[in-house]
Amino acid sequence: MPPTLQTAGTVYRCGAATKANLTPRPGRDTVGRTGQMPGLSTFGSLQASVKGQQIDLALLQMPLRAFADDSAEGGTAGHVTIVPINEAGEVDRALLDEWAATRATDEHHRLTDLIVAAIAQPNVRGPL
Amino acid sequence: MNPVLPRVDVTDAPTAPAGAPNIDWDVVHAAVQRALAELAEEVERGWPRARSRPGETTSGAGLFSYRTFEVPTDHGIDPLVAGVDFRALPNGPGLRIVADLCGEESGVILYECSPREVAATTAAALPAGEALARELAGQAESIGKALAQPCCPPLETTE
Repeated sequence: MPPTLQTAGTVYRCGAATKANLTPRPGRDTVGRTGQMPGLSTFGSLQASVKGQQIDLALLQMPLRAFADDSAEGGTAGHVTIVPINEAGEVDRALLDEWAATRATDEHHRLTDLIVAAIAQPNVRGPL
Repeated sequence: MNPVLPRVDVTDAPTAPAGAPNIDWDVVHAAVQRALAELAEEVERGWPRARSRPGETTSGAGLFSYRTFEVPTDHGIDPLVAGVDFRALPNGPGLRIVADLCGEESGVILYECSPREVAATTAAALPAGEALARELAGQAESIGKALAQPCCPPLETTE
């Protein structure tokens, strides 16, 4: 079974609410694997004493969508990836690459803005 | 001279959304950044490989004003973020201000200031935020030591 579309619930982006940390890493997050979509990594929970950003998936606007890993196919249980998709519902790889390319630059990308807009509670601490 | 990062602003409306504090975030951000710039000077003086960049993340509900510290040549070290977060209280008219030093990707907190709650006005937010930023400015040694060794590896990976 491929990774599953998840349109509700909350996930956590580990780390600070910086522009860079809310943008995928080029070369690492732009490549998926069996059971896991490429994109910005989030988790269903936050470890103790760790800071993160709580994202409400219902607030996530198109073209961004969240996909839960298929742990039976090699994905990680509790891991949810946020990735841009096209009108056919497929990963928009060109847009993902474009987004990731802005991570280490001074420009910011509209998809990073969409992540910021979906943060329901910033700077929360685990365990959650 | 370090570049000033562009504002990450997701609000299209010219005025604050309903329920959001009516605060001049530009003024507050500038005050926080003045204190964090002093921290940056001290870190870069003591640890010449370290570099830093200012930044801010804003939304209708608040401001996160920060400075990221990293060793550009060593990608195995999680950058550190010294930041002050201003957020409207969920059940009241006030503002909660928290400040800490943490791993940018790991979220591991190296230092944390005591949070403050103040009135949701520029006059109240400005000195409180500036004071917390100055407290963070005393953490140059913590930043230098952390950047000298990969003590904060990222907890998450897609690999």
